[in-house]
Amino acid sequence: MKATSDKRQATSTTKIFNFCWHEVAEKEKEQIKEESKKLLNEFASKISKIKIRKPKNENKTNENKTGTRVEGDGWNTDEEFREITFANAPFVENDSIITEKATWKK
Amino acid sequence: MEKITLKQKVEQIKKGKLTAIQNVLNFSKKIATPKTKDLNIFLKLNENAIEQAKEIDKQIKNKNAGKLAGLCFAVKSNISVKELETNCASKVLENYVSPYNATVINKLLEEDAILLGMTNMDEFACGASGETSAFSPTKNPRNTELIPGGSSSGSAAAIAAELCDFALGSDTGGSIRNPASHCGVVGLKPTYGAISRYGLIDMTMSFDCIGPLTQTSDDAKLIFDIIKGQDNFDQTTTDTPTHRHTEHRTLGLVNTKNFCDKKIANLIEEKTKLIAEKNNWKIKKINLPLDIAIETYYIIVYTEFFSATRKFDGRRFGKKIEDTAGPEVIRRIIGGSEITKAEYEGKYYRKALGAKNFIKQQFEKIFQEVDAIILPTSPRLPHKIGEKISTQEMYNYDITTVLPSIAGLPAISIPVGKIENKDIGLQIIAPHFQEETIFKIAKQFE
Repeated sequence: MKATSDKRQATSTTKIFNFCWHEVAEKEKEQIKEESKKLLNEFASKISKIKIRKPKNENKTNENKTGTRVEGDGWNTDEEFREITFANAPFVENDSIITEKATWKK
Repeated sequence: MEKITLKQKVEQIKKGKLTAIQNVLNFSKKIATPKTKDLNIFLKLNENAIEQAKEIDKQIKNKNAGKLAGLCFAVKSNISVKELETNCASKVLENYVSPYNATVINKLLEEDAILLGMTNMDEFACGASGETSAFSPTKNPRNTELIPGGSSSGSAAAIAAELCDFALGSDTGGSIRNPASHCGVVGLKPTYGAISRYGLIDMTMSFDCIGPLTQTSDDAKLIFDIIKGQDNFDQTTTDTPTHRHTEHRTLGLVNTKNFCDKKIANLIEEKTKLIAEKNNWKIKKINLPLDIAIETYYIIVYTEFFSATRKFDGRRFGKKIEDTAGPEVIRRIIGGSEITKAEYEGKYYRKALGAKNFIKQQFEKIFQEVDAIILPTSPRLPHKIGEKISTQEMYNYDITTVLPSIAGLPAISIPVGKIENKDIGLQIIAPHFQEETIFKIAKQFE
């Protein structure tokens, strides 16, 4: 039987081979590099087409166009992360977690 | 003879109808047969299993044995077990003996389960077929010519061949559910954060989950209830919040046209209709963003896996990964290294994170209308071991399992029948931390 669908196979730029383990020679590494780049470009191009609603805090991230981080006024705490951290905390008083080094135990 | 559940087996052990030692010996004899050895399921065996069983038998006599007293289990070779080789089925970590137990292992040992050994897997969990292991592929016990699925290939095969009572696997994008489907067993991927990952050698840390592989959904629930919960060593974990369960359920049946073998889709639809009618549940046809599933998943996986493997530089852990690993691991490292270059900033990983948010939003919308989602676990029948296929075809094995992984949702694969004498798995997805809903629905299908 062939793979999932002809529609998806048609977009594949990769060659066929068996996936069993073998040692990888330098020449094969070059082929893998070329092929994986092609595949990842296909993937990136495909997800570029979807309309993604920006998350609420998208404009507030501390990054600039150079790829280096700009230290801003501090992070906006992700609510889910805050909830989990507080749930795991040994002692919580109002809006603070009280703990000492090596005592993070319930 | 009707199979008994693990709960019933523990009762029998506690009543003295079967001792822990007998249980270990029964499995050990089976594991040692040439026919079983040929399946290449276990990489390392626990030589202390009998000694541990003796201690547990004493505790049973003293009536202070745990909830899993005398049950035998197997563990995927990427979950750390103290004094046993945790090699991720790779020559990179060959002879690496873990100095500590993963949290899940401690929890099982505290309940007096007995570890039989470490199972084979795809190298560093990179694979969907079980073929990429550096120590030869695992064979599917149902049909030895076929792949068992991966990456928890050995754990699923151990259950299918009845070589242990339960097994642990890890699931990043389907690595428990996919082999469970091909081997005709039950495999649970829990909610991300429900089970501690402490001691799991990570593949993609934002998706990785540890979960059980068993014969029935009741057994999966028993193990899940023991290994779940908040852990101080994994800050992503939390205790399961309590939920009210609705009695009148609506199942969302996913339209898998163009993504799945028609025969498989038809079988899943047929079974779902049958069960829904029997239980007076409604069915709603739904669409999931399957067209961007693989694309989103693999960009994130390549990026995080490249980062995760930087510690394997040959200085502290075994050998240098780039010089020692097989082609699939190399592919992900090279690919990850390329797309994380500063010059490509925003072109791959950030786009994929955007798509991840989109997928999460789609699930949130769908779960406003349905209680659980049903779709095939695997979109196709398993290929023969060593058969040539393309990378994209191999990745497409994950197309129906990666979406709940991306959204951190719990999902189970249960066997629902056969096509061309090959096992087919049905997947049930529920909202975060609603594993109970999954178990209740799964039971109706069994």
